[in-house]
Amino acid sequence: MLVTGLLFVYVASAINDMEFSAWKDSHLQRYSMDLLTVLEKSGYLENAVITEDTSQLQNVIAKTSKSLCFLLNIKDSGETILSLQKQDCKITYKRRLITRRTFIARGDQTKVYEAELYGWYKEEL
Amino acid sequence: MSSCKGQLYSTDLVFAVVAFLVVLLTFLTLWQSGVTRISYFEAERWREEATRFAAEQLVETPGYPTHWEQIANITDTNVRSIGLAGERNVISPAKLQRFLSFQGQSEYELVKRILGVSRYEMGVVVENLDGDEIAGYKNTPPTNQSVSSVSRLAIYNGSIVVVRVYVWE
Repeated sequence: MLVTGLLFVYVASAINDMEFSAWKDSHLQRYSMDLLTVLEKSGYLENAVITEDTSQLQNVIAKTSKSLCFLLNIKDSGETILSLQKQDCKITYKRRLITRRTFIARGDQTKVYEAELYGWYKEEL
Repeated sequence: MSSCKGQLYSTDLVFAVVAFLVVLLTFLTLWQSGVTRISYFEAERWREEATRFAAEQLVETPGYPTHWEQIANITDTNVRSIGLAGERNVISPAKLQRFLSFQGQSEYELVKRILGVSRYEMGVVVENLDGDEIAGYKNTPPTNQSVSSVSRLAIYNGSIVVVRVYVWE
């Protein structure tokens, strides 16, 4: 009886400590997709590749939601050519989400690049 | 001659009853607290789903029909979906202006129905990345109750903006 009672207490206690992480993951995923979409459609990704200047991207990423951290890599044929990270974010996390988007840059020659965005919650540091 | 009398009131029995009551009371307290918590989560989850869906409609889709902003008298039957996007994550100024023009109570109720948040109150704010409001629709969310909020990034007039959708009971 005591064992059963303790089991019930354990279950009830587990229910009490329950949290939903699916919502947070879903929010982070949509926000990351939005971020890559607006960076591409605003031409910031293309500019960064052509000028090798990430200040526009850094400026936008710095103003994203305070609870979120991002690390953005821009790759050419799988090799990272530009990389930037939101300030005050350490690369230590329990979970991180990776979002990728390909885009075209029309510099000296038109090429396809890949933007790879790592996102995680700051509170998980 | 030995007797079994008195065993009912033995220390073991008293201890067992006390232990049982302690466990039972703890369980009932935790259970009640768990049920309350689950009910809260359930209500919150439905509200958050509705908020996410409304934000998705507004930022990712042009609405249906796609020229809904040109229809003079909007009803449930001639407009099935309201979206602000000319293309995904790019806000159409014409659609936003029309959306903001729905100021009457009946239009507000219609907008809520079409966006799927008729059970709740809602507000939409478009801000620049510094947090300055560019456009706002309807109510400001109350400070004394739970509010679901979804922020989506979009482009409006060539600038990156945040579209924030608030929903509350």
